[in-house]
Amino acid sequence: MDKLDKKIIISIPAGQALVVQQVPQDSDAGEFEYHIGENTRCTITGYGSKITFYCAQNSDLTYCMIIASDPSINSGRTGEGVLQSSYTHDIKVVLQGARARARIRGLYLMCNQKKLMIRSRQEHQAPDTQSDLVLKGVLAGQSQVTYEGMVYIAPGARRSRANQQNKNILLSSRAYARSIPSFEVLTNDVICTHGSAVGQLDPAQLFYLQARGLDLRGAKGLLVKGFIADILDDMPDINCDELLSGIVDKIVDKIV
Amino acid sequence: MKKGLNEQIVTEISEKKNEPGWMTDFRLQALAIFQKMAMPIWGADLSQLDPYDILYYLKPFEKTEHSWDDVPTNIKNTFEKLGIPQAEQKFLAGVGAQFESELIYKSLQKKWADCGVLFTDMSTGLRDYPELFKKYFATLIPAHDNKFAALNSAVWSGGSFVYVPAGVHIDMPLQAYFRINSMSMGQFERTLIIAEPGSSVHYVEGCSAPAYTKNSLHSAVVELFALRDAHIRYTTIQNWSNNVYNLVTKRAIAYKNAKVEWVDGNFGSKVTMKYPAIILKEPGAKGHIISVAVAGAGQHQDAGGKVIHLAPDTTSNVLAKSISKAGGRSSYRGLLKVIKGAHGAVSRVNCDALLLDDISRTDTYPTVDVQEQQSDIGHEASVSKISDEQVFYLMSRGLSQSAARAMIVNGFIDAFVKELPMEYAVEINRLIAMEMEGSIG
Repeated sequence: MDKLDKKIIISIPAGQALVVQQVPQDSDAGEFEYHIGENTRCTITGYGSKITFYCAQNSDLTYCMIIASDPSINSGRTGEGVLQSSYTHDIKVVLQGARARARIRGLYLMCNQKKLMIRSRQEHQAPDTQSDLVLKGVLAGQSQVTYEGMVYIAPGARRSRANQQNKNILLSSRAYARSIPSFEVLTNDVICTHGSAVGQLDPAQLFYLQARGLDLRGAKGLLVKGFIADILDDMPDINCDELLSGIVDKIVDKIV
Repeated sequence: MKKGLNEQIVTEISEKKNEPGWMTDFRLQALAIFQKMAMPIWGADLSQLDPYDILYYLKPFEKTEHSWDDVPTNIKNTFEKLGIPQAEQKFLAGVGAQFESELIYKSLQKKWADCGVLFTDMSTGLRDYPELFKKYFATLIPAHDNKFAALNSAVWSGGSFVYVPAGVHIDMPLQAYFRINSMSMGQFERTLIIAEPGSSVHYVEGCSAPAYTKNSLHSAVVELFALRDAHIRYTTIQNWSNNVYNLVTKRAIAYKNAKVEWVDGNFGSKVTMKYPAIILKEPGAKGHIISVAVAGAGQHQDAGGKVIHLAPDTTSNVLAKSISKAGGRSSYRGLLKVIKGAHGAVSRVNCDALLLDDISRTDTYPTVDVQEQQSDIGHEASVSKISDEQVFYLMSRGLSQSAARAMIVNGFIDAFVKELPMEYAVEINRLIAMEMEGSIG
């Protein structure tokens, strides 16, 4: 069977205080579908090429992923993946029940000639739902990233709140980022924001750090770490310890 | 002349205008391109539009007028309704009112004419300044650019031809009013503005159309050339009646240290698809796009802006505001592109949408495409409604509910209104107050 044809459906029962799960890593499935029960709080890490979350009433989802472009910066830890030469990642969150909440945090660290395509869809179908997506990328080498995001707020999904952010740092003159954060809002009582930015490390900040004794490499590493720190802070406790920051050090070292 | 579109009609338009052979050929080529190209499958719904069921050219009965007294009363009345005092109209540098398909009134003040400024209709431009005309015409928006640019290229009539010589600053805006006065008559005006090095010009077009029952098409092409250190500001107030398809191609090119500004207000029409574009071709060029779109019942405003950074140290700024009400839909569709080598490019895009009720819709489809590391690009958008707290605050201080809502909406688009000439700002405030009546949710 073709790898991408296989779909795994995972149900998380209703009423759980906190479920922490990792997307099955060694499975040969390309597609995952999560059904999150009512009143359940859960944290899911890892990634598949296509991942869909259906969130019932009052559920609270946190989804985190880190994508690294190079095997040498992958330690096999949770929530972390290695890319093929080009890779597509589809995230879809469907907030089906009232007061469902979803937080999505993603980090991609790219080097060499790798290409990454990320698509996201935050679909608000019920009132009082919240979604918050932040994706940050560090691009080195000749890497290319395309992001296409959509926030969709259905008629009747009143008092929804949606946020969608995509920020990219280009570390190399040959890296390339394309970002299309879109939204479609069909009701008025909402708070909906999005933002997208592409930039380089601030030369003034690099100068400042070098003037205080860091070499260029160290200065860049520090600034990149600062850029991604808020994403790491949002990662669940099991990930956000010294281990993970160790991995990130490695990644930053490699990329810079 | 009959409805429809074929080679005979295009040739006839060209003959009636006594155009040179190259223009007739250009029109026929454009027609072939139009017939070959498919309708756009993205953006607004155009399935109700039949471009072959439209009258493509009407010669007005009136001859071109030269003094204010000779301007027909019905046109003067329209000016009155738009709320612009006659004295102020006379004061403005030049007024060209497009009645049917020709400019019937134009009065460029003598001092500008003495400086070598040309402000005339396109047919006169083609006849009297053929070399200048041919050098720029359709070089920025060729006929094959898109289906409706091809249509305009085939059947264009009317529009303004503006030429500002090097170093000349026109400190009063040049104005032209556009009107549609005949049922099912498309307007296909074509505007060409050339600002020579170091010059500056502000061109204002305001459009108002009476209501008709049958679908009408407006498909204009506007080309702006801002040469070194030149500054062009192009202001549009568009208030087409609710049966008009407004499919416009607008593009500007800015050379070294030049500055181009599009100030664009879309209030009427059934469907608008309009994305003013700025190509920043040489170092130091600057582009600004400020727009407002208001979509009411049955309307879809698919507007936006495009900025393409082709050179180092270019800067751009896009501010798009939209208001949707009574089931209307407004969309922002934008492109921000920085090519490799355009180092030091800086750009900010801001889109704010206001939804006045829960049956209206707003969309944002921005594309940010960056190929240069040394650039600083940001895009931000937000959607909100009129907050109950603000309405409550204003009402507790004695305003009626509709006055309170109108005040909040006027505040929302204030950044746009500030950029307009005074009389337009007054007009827009009136328009908003009018639109707010009966929109209490």
